[in-house]
Amino acid sequence: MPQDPIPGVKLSHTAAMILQAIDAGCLYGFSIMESLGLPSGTVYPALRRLERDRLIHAAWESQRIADAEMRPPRKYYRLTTAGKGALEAARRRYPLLDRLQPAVPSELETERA
Amino acid sequence: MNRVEQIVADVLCRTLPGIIALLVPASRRAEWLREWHGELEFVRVAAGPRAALALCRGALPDAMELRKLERMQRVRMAPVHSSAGVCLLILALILVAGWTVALLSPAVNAERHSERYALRSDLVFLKDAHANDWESSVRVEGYRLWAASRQHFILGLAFYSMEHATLNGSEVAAVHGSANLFTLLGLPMEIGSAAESSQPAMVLSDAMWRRDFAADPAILGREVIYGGRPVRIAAVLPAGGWRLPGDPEAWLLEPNAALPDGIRGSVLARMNSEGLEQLWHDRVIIPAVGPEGEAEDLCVLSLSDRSRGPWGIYLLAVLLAFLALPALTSVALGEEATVDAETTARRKALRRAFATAKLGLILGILYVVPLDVIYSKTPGYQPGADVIQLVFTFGLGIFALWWAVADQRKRCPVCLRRVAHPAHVGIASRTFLAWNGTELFCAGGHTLLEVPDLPTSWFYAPRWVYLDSSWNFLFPV
Repeated sequence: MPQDPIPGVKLSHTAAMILQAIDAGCLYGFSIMESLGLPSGTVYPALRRLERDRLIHAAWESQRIADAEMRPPRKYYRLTTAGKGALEAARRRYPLLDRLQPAVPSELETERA
Repeated sequence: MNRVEQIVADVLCRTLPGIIALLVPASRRAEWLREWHGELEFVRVAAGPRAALALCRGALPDAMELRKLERMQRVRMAPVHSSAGVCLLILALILVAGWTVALLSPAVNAERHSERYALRSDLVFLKDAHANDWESSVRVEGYRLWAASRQHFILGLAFYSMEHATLNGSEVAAVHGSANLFTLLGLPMEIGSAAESSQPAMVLSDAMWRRDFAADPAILGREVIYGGRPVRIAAVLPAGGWRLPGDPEAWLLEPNAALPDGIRGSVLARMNSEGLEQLWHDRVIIPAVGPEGEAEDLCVLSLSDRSRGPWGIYLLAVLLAFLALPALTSVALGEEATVDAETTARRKALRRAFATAKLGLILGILYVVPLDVIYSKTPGYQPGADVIQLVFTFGLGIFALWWAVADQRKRCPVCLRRVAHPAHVGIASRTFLAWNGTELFCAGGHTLLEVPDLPTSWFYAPRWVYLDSSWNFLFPV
């Protein structure tokens, strides 16, 4: 049973950076790794915890898009309303977070489109 | 990266997630594997096998994290003690701890093996019917007279008196008795050679032999000073061997003629079969003649109730607990309420096996724990210990059996978890329109247990409601 998001939840710095990256358009695990320079062993477990706390929401890419590119579909992450609130709180807590502008790979922009 | 390295990296990227996926909870394994295959395939094509292999390193921590989150979720949903396995494990641990204490405690061991020293059923006490103090109610002169005369119902008589005297300079509680005392009691000891020597025979208790004589194996035949005169040590009585009242540390045994005049004590008698038939009651008065020819009334006290032993007391207490249980709670295990298409024969067998295992462990605990508590701080048999064991075992048995029945009734018929999280349902004032009572659910999401507050003709006993798949969203497995 998923837990209710905790109002005013205090995120770790890593979790806040991941939320910031997702908010900036890095929508799946590898792009978050690339943009933040964090290893996969940090990013994916953090994504699981954020998903459990209902700060992000995961959805599968359309099979049609994956088929068109001849690869398996990927899982995309988006911020929930609670996640956006938590990110705002994290920005107040970590003022330098605002300066973090993760580089979104151009290919990803294409993917999003 | 050369061709071989590429092939190796490629193979690893394709196989490792499948192996690591075994760590992921089964319910999320397929989705987890799909996500990792998607990511790895994308990276392998976009950045090459080496980058894909680097990404693959994160699969293990990710799988472990999912596993941890799942475990935390399960713990929140189902208390650990609700599991049938944990329940049996806790009972088994209590039993093992009880046996460990029993094996390490000499007094408990002695009591457990006390059957070999049990008093014979044909033994009785003879006391002056008019004396209040039955332990020293008979004069030794009277005993000598009765022992020398022919008795119709009695095969043999022995005398003993409790006294305090010094043994090698330290004061001890001792028994001063006739030479045939242990023979009459039926204790398996050889003291004949020492008893027949010129010096009186002394028997030491096991505790005293260990404490004051450092468990010397060559102690037999040694001369010690008891009450200012030399005596010879003839035997060591094993722990738990003395089943009569008192806790003596030594026994001085002398022929009847050598027993000091004027002492008072207890007389033990061994009855023949004809005499036993006359003992239709535990307490019988018989006329006798005293040393000065005066008439005396002797009271015969049966010792049979003292020779039951811990096993006999345990069986009696457990039987009483079983008989008393229906007075405390309904003994129905709720099995009839579990009859359902979903309750397969295998599940029913498992449920019965669990109940049997639980009962078996409880019966083991009921035997050993009272013995641990009663005898862990006493050197051996105590006159009141039988009663304490009976009361303790009965009390503990009643509670344990009540718990076992109540616990069984609250075990989910599908997974044997104990249902939890009670919620009140309905309104008492609408009892005749709809049920009201308590609802408990199985943390595995299999069943609900509905217990009516007020039994009615249409809903009088707790019933199980099997949950369908529409409830699954509440119980992610």
